[in-house]
Amino acid sequence: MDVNPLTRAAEHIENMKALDAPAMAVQRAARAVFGRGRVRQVLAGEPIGHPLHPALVGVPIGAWVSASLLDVTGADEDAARRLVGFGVLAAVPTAASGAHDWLATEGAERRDGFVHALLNDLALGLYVASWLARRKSRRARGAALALAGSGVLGGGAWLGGHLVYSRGVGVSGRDKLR
Amino acid sequence: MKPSVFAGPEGHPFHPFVVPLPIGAFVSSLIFDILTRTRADGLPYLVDAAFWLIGVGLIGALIAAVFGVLDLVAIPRGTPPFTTAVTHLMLNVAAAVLFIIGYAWRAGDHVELDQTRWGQLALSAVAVGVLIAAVWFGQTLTYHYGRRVTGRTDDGRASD
Repeated sequence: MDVNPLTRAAEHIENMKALDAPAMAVQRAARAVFGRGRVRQVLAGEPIGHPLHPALVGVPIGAWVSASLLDVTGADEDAARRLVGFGVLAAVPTAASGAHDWLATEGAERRDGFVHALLNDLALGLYVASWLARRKSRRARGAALALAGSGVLGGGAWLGGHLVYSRGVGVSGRDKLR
Repeated sequence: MKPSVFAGPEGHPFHPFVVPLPIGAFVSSLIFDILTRTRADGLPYLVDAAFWLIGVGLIGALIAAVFGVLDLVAIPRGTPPFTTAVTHLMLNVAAAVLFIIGYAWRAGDHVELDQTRWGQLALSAVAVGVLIAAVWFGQTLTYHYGRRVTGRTDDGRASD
């Protein structure tokens, strides 16, 4: 067993068979939405020759963390709100490309990816709530919601890193590992 | 070669975990520059924020660089992934230098401006372009060569 509690948590999620039924239901629904064709190819990252999702994640994460940094330094309320809003917009293609990659997974990786998506969607919801609070000039509430979002986002990012670097999802020729 | 323990545990390298902060800060800065240009009277608070975001990005880039170099030195010299890693590093250094120039330029005038200068905006746009190229080479290391991926040997093949 791994000594790292975060890795143990990821391995625990990988073995949660109770996740299979809801995850498969979501996959069936998502397959119907994505279909085939050009959009699917772009979401997969075929034009760049690498998975698109990991290339996009930096934009919303960096925008949101920067917004919290602005909150902490107490500067520029409007800029912080704009950063949160930009992060929400950037999260949409990021989530779509991630959902696409997840459709091809099964078993342990489907479970990890399902929880990764749930955490990141929860974080997205917290940032949307943060943006709405900031629009009503309730900065303290907006800042608190953003901090909560960053915590959840960190958990989601950890699982995403686990999928790539521990399990090799998206790495070329990884079928040889099996 | 095994990477340093400071580069993160097996299967959980630190470098890819810290790169989102500088990427997001730099891209957001450019977006703010563009937004200041969408209104005739400008958006002075976004000119300030764009300057500040470049600073955040540069600090984040320094942290990312430390972990990145720890991963780089674990790659055997002269191999294709080593060449890719050096290219990745050089492009990131080039992007950082462009942002340092932009930061210094803005430090003198961002307080009085209502809109980011076109030259400053163009400099950031070029820097973001270089950064995207750098990200692509970084992705090649992970998704093509399997660097820092559990169960991969130094030449990127799956170990038996």
